[in-house]
Amino acid sequence: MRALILGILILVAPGQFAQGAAPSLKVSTVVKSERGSTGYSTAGVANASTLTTSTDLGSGSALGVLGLRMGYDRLQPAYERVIITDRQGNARALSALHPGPENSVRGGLDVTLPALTVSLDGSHTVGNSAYPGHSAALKGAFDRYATGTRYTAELSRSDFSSPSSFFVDPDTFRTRERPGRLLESQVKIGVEQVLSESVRSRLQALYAVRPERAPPKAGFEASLAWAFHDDKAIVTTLGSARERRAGALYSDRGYLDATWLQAELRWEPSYAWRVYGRVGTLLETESARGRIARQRVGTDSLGLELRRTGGPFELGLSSLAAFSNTGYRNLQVGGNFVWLL
Amino acid sequence: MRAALLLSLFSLLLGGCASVGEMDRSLVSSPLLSFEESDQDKLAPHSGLRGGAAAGGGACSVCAH
Repeated sequence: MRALILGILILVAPGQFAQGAAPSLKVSTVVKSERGSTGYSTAGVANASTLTTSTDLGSGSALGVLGLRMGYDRLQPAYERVIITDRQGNARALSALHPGPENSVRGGLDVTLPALTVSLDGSHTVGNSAYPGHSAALKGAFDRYATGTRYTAELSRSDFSSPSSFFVDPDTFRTRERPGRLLESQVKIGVEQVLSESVRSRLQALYAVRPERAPPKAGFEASLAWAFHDDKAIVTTLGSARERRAGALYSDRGYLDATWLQAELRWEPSYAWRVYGRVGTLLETESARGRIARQRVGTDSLGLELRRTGGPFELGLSSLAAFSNTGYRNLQVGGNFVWLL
Repeated sequence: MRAALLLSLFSLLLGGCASVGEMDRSLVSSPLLSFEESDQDKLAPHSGLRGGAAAGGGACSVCAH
């Protein structure tokens, strides 16, 4: 029955719902370099870089309401920064066991109707990986044009295995094994509202459970976009996330909180070009655990992005720099090229 | 990051005071006012609290939390 309904939609769609998007081929690369650490642990001290290359093929809306996507990621991970410890307390970098690279495949489909968009995405690691597993996300967006409102909902789930590693419990001083399965299920809902010709707002809330791994987390994010000129806008965002204090702890980490404030300046110097400048500040705290005092980590970030759209080729260049009060540094540069077939 | 704070508060204040006018369907998809995710939106080097369950990796790259 479902196949019949989908078949009718596809047959009816090309003339009625065609969105005009073309099939596309996208190639993207991101290089990320990290040094220093954010906390008391020796983990994360090593200097290391990750290199991610992705290839995506999309059908656009060539089938009418239905679009298909598939992708392939190749990651050279920075496992020099991940320290694992055996039961006897001997520590070594994860890169000694898993030098990389790691591969994963992705797939997805979009259903686009005049006021409703639904997408389903999934990914799966392929071959040797330190964290083998899969993830999936179902997203929906409903536009109510009469009031300028968009409602969004997202359900996502990830299930990865973790390499065996032990730690000394700061409360009991007993040796325990870290969670071997990293399972997370998250729900996120949001509402966007057009407030005037030049102002738009968004409010999002999320809740995630991570059984046998970490306490549940909840968070919110409020954003406001204001076009103060024909070709310039500023988007500001305030957000916070917090782990539930009643939840059990499964590692030597304490309860975590994060609060962030960001501002993004957008400029369209021409129809084809867009420039994004971003500045943000982030405060993360971790509650005291055993003899380890409460930690506060402040991180400032700067970003610049350039995009060219229109025509058979689209280009994107982006950069991000982040600096923490603990000496942690993160620099990353990325680029992507899209060929509309 | 006082500049970020001041810039954000300034725009929130002015945006909040903007008049609420007639809705425009084209605004729903305007790239100048659209909410898009950037690399900065996933940044949480100590806690790993930002980003969804399907954001990838399943673990913080630094601490495997």
